[in-house]
Amino acid sequence: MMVQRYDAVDGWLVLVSNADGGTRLAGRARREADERAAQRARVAALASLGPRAERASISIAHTEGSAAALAGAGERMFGVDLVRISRVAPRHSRAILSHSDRDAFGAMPPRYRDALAWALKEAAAKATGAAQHFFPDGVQLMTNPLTRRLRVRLADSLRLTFDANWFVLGDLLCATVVAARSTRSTGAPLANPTQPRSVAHGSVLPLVR
Amino acid sequence: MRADSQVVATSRYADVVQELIAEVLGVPRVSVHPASALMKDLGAESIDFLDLVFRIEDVIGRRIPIGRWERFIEERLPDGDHGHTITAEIVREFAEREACR
Repeated sequence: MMVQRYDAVDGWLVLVSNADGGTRLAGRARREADERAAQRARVAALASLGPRAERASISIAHTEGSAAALAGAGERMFGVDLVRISRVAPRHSRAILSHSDRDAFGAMPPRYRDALAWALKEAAAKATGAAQHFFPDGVQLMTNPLTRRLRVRLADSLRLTFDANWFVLGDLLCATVVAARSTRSTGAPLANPTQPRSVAHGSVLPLVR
Repeated sequence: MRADSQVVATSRYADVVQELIAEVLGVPRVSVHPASALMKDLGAESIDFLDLVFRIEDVIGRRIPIGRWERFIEERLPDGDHGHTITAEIVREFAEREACR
């Protein structure tokens, strides 16, 4: 289990990894393994928040017996997604990319771009609480023109923009998105979020951008 | 005559969809029933639904924009907990609708 402070949401990111065979599971067994991992991640993320867990939001993703939970007590919308890199093929990314996504997609590392495009769109769609409505065409992949860092934007009238982060652990890619401004109060932007620090248990995760 | 044809078509898509679901999810075909919930009962994840759409494309010989599946689910199951409500029967409905376009 990896537990990592995530300042941008005033919270914690937890990753529960099933490195030894989640891909061999199928059917109900896979679902149950996912739910167990998700529960472990959820409990750990909320426990890390302490008393602030009562007013926290949480986003959970799971795949093949692994799970990620991002819990935060801050004022920004956020979402997380977890995907096995080798599971996402070019055909998948072609199916979800729109013309406006192409520049950002081209800026992603080729080794991860299919999985990353998928995970960022999923994470942002989930952050809205209406994933089915926004995925995939309602989420646009972008790069910040100044920093070239990845962002995602909702293609609705609010045009809410999210900062994107991601890291790789083995064959798993975990993507997070955090709204670039407060979504609870007046809409005044908060300071730029601090990037998540890598505090893995057992091994240090390189943050890859 | 027309009713008979529709029954045959429906039956054919039920079998085809049952087979596709079993292949995509790596589960025995006998475990796929019309009321099987793809996520809760059969372990489907979001990307598996895209694979199902691809397989339906292959069967009907026509491209299906993924947004059409998302809109179909949004309209067909507006209030549902999709973990429980996206069933093999719902996938069959979608396949049949796409085949008739």
